[in-house]
Amino acid sequence: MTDTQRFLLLSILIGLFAGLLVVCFHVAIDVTTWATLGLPIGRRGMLVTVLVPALGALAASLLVARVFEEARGSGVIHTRTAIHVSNGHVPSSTVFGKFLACTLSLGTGTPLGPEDPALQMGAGVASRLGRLFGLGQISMRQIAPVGAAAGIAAAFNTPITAVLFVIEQVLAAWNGQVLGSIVLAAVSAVVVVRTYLGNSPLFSVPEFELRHPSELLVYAGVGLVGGLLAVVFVRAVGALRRQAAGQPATVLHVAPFGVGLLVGAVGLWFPGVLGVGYGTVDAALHGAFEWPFLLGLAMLKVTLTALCFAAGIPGGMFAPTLFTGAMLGGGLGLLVAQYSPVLAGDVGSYVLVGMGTFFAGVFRAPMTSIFMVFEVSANYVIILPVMIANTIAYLVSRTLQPVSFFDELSRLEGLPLPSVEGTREAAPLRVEDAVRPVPMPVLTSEMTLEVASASLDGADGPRLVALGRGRWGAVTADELREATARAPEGTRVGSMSDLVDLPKVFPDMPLDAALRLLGSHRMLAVSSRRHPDALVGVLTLASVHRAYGIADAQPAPPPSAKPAEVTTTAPAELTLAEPDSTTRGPEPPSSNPLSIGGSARDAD
Amino acid sequence: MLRAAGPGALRLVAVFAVLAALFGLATLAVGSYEEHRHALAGSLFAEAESFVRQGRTEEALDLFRQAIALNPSELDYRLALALQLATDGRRREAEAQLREVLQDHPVNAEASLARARLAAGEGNADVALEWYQRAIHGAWRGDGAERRRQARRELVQWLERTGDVTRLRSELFALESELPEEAGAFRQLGAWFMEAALPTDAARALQHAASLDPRHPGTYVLLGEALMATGRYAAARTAFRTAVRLDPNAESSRAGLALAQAILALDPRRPGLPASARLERSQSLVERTLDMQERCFGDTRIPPDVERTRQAAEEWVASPRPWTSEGDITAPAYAMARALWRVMPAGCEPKTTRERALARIVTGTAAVDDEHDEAESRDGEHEQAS
Repeated sequence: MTDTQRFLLLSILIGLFAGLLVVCFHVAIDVTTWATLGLPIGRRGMLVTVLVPALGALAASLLVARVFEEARGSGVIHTRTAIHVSNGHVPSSTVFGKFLACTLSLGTGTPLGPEDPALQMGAGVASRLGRLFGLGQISMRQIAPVGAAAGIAAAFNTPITAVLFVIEQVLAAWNGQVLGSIVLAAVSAVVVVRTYLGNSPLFSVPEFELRHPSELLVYAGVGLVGGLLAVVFVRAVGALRRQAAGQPATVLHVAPFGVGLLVGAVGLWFPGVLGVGYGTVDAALHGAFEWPFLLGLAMLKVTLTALCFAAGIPGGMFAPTLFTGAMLGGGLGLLVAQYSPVLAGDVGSYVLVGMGTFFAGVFRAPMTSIFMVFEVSANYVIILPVMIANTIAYLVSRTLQPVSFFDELSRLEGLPLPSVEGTREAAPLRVEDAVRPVPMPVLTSEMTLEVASASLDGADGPRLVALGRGRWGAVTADELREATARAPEGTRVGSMSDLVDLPKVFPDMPLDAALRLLGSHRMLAVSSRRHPDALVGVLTLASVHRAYGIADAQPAPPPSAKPAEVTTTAPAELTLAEPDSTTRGPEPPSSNPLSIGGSARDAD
Repeated sequence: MLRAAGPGALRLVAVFAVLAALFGLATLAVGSYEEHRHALAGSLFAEAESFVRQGRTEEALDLFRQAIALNPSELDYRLALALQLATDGRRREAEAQLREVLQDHPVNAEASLARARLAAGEGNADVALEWYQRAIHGAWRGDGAERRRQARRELVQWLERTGDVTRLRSELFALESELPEEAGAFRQLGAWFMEAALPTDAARALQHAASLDPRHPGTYVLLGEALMATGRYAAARTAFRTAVRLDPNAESSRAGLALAQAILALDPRRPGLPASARLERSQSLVERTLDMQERCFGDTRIPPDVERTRQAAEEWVASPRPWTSEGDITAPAYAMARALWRVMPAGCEPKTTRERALARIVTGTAAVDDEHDEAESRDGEHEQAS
C-alpha cells in the first residue's frame, strides 16, 4: 500500500472516530443540561438557574487551567499550530480535556458552542492516529486539518462547510494533496453522526420565496450591519483578552465564576440565550419573536459570548455567531417590515441570512459562510440573498478590521502563526515576473551547423534552438563549435547529440515551479500558450533572483524591456508563421536567423 | 499470531478494537439518550396541552416550542403549536409552523384547515378556498368522513358570511351528498340553500328534514319560507300550519301562516280563481298599493311624476278594461302595481301582514299551481293529527 493510500484509509478512520466522539459529546452536553439546569430552564428555581452556569464555568475553566492545559484555547489555533509549529502534534490530552471541560461548560448553560471543541478533538484524534501509524513529517503536518474537518463536519452535520472552512481558515490554501483526505474524513464523520442522530439538518426551515428583487436591498443592509457588529465584536474580544491577560491569577480563576453568575442571571429572564441556543434560533426562524426582542437577544448573546471567551471559559464561537447573526437578521427584517412592508420578506429568510452574515464578518470565511447557511437549512432558495449579505459583511469586516479574528487570537496567545488571510491571498510570483528578452539569436533545428556556428559571432553561452511544434532545445556555443568541427558539412543542428530538449515553460506558471527546473538547465525558453512556437523570452537563475528581490551583480533590466506575450503578431524581429498547424514549425535555413530585441545580450 | 504479524498489525487491531468499543458506547449512550429525549418531549407536550386547557397560553406555547426543539420530527407537536398559535391570532408564527408541517406532510388536513382559517381571517378568499378544499380532501386522522363534513360545513359558513353565492352553491350541493341522515343537518342545509337563493333545493332539503323529524317546528317554518319563495303558497300555508300546531307560541310560525294566508287571499294570479274574483283581486291589488304609497308619503308632497302614475292607477281601478279571453286582467294590474311600487318613497317598508303580502305579490314570484301540494299537505296534516 502506498503512503497516499494509507493516508486516505487513515482519513476514513479519523472520520469514524471523530464522528463517534462528537455523537458522545452531543449526548453528554444534553444530558448535563437535563441533569443540572433541567427542562424547561428555570423550572428548578432561581438559585439553580443562576448558580449552575457559574459553577459549571468555574469547573470547566479549572479543568483546562490545571489538568488539561493543552486543551485551552481555540481549536483552529491549535490545529494551525500543529501544522506550522509542532509538526502535526496535537496532544491526546486535548481530546479528553476538551470533551470534559466543554461538556461541563456548555451543558451548564455557557453561551458558547460545541463546534470548535469538536474541531479540536478531531484534530487531536487525527494526530494521535497519525503518530500511532508512524506517518512521516509531511504527512503528520497534513493530518491535523483532516481531523479538524471531521470534527466540524460531525458537529454541524455539514460536510461541505467543514471542508471549506478547513481550506479557508486552517490550511489557508487549496491543497490538492490533502483535499481528498479532508473530504473523506468529513464524509465519514457525517455518516456516523447521521446514523446515530438522524438525517435532519440543524434547523428546520419553513418554505419561503424571494417575492421581489427589492428585498435584496434589505439583505444587503443586514450584511452591512452584520459586518459592523462583527468588527465591534472582534475588537471587543481582543480588548477583553488583553485586559484579562494582564490580571493576576486569582482574578483569572474567579472571572469564569463571575461571568457564569451573570450568564445565570440573564438566563432567568432570557433562557434562550443560555447554552448553544439552537432551539431559540428555530423559534426565531418561525417568527416567534418581535424585532425588539430579537435585537435584544442578539446584543445579549454577543456580550455574554465575548465575556465568556475573554474569561477563558472553554467553548467555541461558531454557534454564538450563528445565534447572534440569526437574531440580528430577524430583528432587522421585522423592523423593516414594520415600516416598509413592500420591501420586507419573510422573517425566516432574514434569520437565515443573518446567521451567515455575522459568521462571515467574524471568521472571514466567505465561501464557508455561504455554504454553511445552505447546509444547516437545506434551503437553496436563500442562496442569492446569502451571497449578497455575506459578501458585504465580509468586505466590511476586511475594510474596518485589518487583523482577522484568528490572527488576533494567535497573537494574543503568543503564537507566531502566519496570517490566514496573508497566506490565502498572497499573490505568487509567476514566470512572467522574471522572464527576460532572448539575448541571442535563436537557432532552428533545420539550420546547418556551419550557419549556426557563424551566427555565434564569437559569443559563448547557451543557445536556444527552435525544434518546432512548440518544443525548444538548448545547446552551448562550445558544443556547437565542436559539432561543426566533427560533423560532415551540411549536418543540421537538429541532429546534434548534445541538443537538450527543454521543458515547456509558460508565462503564467508559478515561478517556484520554473525555479525547480532551472536546477537542470541554465536557461529555459518561455513560450506562449496560445502560440507555442512564439518565444516570449527566457528564464535564468539571475532573472529569477531579481524577481525575488535578491541583489545581483548585474542591474535589473528596465521594466519596459520585459516583453509581452506574443498574441496577435510576432515581435518585429521574430518572424513566425501564423497560428496554423500546416505552417507552424521552424523557419527553413534560407530565411534570416531569428533574433529578438535588436541586440545580443548575455544570458546571465 | 498477532505478535507474529508485527507491530503494525497490532496497532491496527488495537485501533479497531477502540473503534468498536466507541461504537458500542455510542450505541448504548444514544439509545438511552433518545429514549429519554422522546420521553422528555412527550412530558413537555402533555404539560403544554394541560396549560392550554387551563388557559395558560403563553406557558403552553413555550412548552410546545421546547417539545419541538427536543423532537423536531414529531408532527403532533408542531401541529399543536401551530393550531394554538392560529387560535391566539399569532398569524405569522402560525403560518410559518403550518408551512413547515405541510412541507413534510402535504396532505395533512388539520394543517390545511388551519391555513384556510388564517387566510379567511386575512380576507384572502382564493387562498382560503384552496386550503379549505385541501382540508376537505386531505388526510384526516380518526373519523375522516365526519371531519371532512365539518370542514365543508365550515367552508359553507365562511362562504355564506362572505356572500360568495356562486361558490356557496357548489359547496352546498357537494355537502348535500355527504350529509348523514340527521334532521338537524338537513335543516341547516335548507337554511344555507335559502341564503344561496336556491329555494327549490332548500325546500327539498327541508322536506327531507321534516321526514326525518316530523315534530320540529323550526323545520316547517323554514320550509314554509322556502315554499313561499318558489310561489307555492298553499303548500307554504300548510307548512306554517304544522309549525303553529307544533309550537303555538312561536311568533315566527304564526307570522308565517298569516302571511301565507294573506297572500293566498290577495293574489289575483292564484290558480283556480274565477274571472270575477281575478278582476276584483286585481283592482284590490292596485288599490292597496295606492293606499300603502299614500301612507308612506304621509304629509310629504307627492312628486308630479308619481302623481301622474297614481292618477293613471286610480283611473284604471275606477274603470278597468273588460277581461277578454285573449287578455289577462291581472297583467295591467300587476303593471300598475309595480309601477307604483317603483316610485315608493325611500324607506317605505310594509307594516302589516297585508302589506307584507302585497309586497310579496307585487315584487315576488308568481303563484304556482300548488293545489296538488295543498291536498297532499292536508292529508299529511290529517295523518299527523291522528
